[in-house]
Amino acid sequence: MARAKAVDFFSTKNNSSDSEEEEDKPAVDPRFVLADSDSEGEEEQEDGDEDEEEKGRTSKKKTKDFFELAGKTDDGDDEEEDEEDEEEEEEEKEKKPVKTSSTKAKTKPMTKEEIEKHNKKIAKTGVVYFSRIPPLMDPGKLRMLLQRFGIVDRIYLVPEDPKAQAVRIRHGGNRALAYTEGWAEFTKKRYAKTCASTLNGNTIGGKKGSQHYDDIMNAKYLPKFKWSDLSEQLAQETHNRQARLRTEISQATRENQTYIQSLEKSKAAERRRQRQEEEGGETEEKPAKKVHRDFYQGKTHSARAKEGKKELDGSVGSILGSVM
Amino acid sequence: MSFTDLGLPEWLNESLSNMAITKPSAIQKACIPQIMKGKDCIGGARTGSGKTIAFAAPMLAEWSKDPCGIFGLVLTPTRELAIQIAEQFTALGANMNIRVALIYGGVDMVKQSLELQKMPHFVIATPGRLADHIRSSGEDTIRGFRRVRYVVMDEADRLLTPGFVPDLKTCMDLLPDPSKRQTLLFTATVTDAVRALKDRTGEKGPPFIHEIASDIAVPSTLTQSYLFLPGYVREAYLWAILTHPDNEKKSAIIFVNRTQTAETLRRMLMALDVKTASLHSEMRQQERVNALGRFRAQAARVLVATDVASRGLDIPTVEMVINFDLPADADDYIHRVGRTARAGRKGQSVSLVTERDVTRVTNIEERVGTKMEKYDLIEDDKVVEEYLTPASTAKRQAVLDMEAENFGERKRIQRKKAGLDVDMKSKNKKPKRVAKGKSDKK
Repeated sequence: MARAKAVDFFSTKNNSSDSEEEEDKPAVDPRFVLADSDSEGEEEQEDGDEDEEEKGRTSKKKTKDFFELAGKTDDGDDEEEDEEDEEEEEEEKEKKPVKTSSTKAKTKPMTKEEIEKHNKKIAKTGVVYFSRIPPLMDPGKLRMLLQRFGIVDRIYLVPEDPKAQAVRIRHGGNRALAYTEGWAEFTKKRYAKTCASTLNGNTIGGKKGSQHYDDIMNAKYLPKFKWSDLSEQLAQETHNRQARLRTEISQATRENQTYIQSLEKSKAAERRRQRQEEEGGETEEKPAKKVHRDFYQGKTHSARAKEGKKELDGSVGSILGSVM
Repeated sequence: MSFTDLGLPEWLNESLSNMAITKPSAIQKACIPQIMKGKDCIGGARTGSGKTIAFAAPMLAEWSKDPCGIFGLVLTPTRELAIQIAEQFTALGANMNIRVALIYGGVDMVKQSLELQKMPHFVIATPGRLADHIRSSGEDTIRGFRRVRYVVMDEADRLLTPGFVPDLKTCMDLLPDPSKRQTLLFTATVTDAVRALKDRTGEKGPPFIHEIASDIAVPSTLTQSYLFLPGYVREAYLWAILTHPDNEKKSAIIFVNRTQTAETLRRMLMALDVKTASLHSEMRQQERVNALGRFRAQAARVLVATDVASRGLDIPTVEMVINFDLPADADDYIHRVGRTARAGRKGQSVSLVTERDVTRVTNIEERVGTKMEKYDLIEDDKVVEEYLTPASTAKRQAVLDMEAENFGERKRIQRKKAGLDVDMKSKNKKPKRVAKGKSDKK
């Protein structure tokens, strides 16, 4: 159920009208792939592949950054953060090649053992879902809170809708950014499970005077769920959007090309006509092949007073008496 | 001739000269004395000829003799126009402690109703919101309207169209009988409805009528030109026109027919580094006010607008009007190009004519009575080289972004709420366009 919720979140985030369309389709839209290889051309196949890989990387990086963002705004314990950041960076370095190598066999920056090791590491991770984030809680505080269950890796909290925030503030709410829901990744499933069973439905506790002493958390361990399940969907959507933009632009380029060609044609025709005129050949002028095109013409209408027309539209006529 | 000669009090003359208005225009000369005499009035004059002062000045003169309750009600078709008229009233009556209430949609209703309860001297309103108050705000709020002395309908031709009738009827039912108040109608174009009003003679006798002498409804200081091009390269040419060295510093309004186009163009031009604001009904009221403010303050050089901005708006700095789409009604064209060349200034209009606008352009030329000239500042080669690709890319990007942000959702929801459960998407789909010759065969 929580998984469904996660998916929900992403599909609502991308509220483009074609989201339904995308949902029905398999993960990679074959249309776009085709369009790619088409535009790249066969000779450039190799370069193209590399390019694409590059793109894939940057987009992955971007989404990763996006997810890291929540963690990085943290103003909690600096040293610890630094350590973790390093860890994460390391992981990132390892991760990228793995993902690409799974699809493309050409580049192998990692040895088999390393990959195995990495995959094992990934397999051990567990993700907890929070359906509600108490007011004034932020990724930093949440990290502090979760650390007692084990090593926390990544945290992502969904910030509230800016419009909803504006409304909340207007009605006297706190100005701090609130979050609607979130996910936290632990390095071991065990940690995640403990976290969920301890936190769920309980007050946060701690020192009696602390801000979140009485706040209740909802936490659910997501079985068979990995962090990549979260980010991949987003990456996919970005990719789809970019692919769509590419096709749109190539279409526009074709249109522009048509325009340029017809412009050249008309110029040539003009030159020909001028030359013929200079030669003084009115008689030479052969009847040009006349192409007649009919275009749908925009409608016209008018509310203007016309001579002779006295009757008025019923509804308007009925009101005139009360006007003057 | 000065304003005092027309019978206006000295204080008003002073306020007017503070606004740099010293000489009355033709319509002001004609209408002010008649209105002071207590006659109903229908005033028709070209765009930018000073119609607002023509009704504001005599009303204020009468009001200053006996400042009371709700003295006058001004109805306008658009919110921005209401704001503008209210500003002028406030400025004119500033040294007489005038209280003006602005009643229009898109903002808090309770505040407005409290303001009405304080009996402001003048109320500037759009019919929809005023009718809403009459229906729901209670007797305390609306009792002032029962003794209104003046009712003004600015842009009367637009107000007297079927869309406004139900709300207008609600308002008129509350107001005193036509024989007990003065009714002033002002418009730049005379429609059937306005003409029908002319022929009515009530207990007070016929109203005073001032009409434009010649049939040319556009100012003589306006140069009108056209550019004939295929529809799909309009964006590039638009950009080329706006960034041409001759136009680089000019402030311009671009008129389009749909909110969708307005938003696309705004995004496109912003992406191409042209400072642009937009004005259309799909924006929130606050955004609309802000956008217009930005344009007036010249923080934005270009305003992309639908016909909501085509009437009445007085922005003296506008030097250029570009018709990105041509309007179906030639009168709309007159109002649109009337945003420039105001009060004797020079102005320029460029209409982008596509393969589909030929009948529209002939219709407009017939109505206006002049032929447009070809706009030959833009060279095709230069556009092809420099403008075509960036413009088309920016446009496609804008369209995709809007799709992602679900542009137009607000209106769909509103229509649903109003019970007009029409699927806007299917409605917005263009009808299958068949060339005329072919459809005739069927």
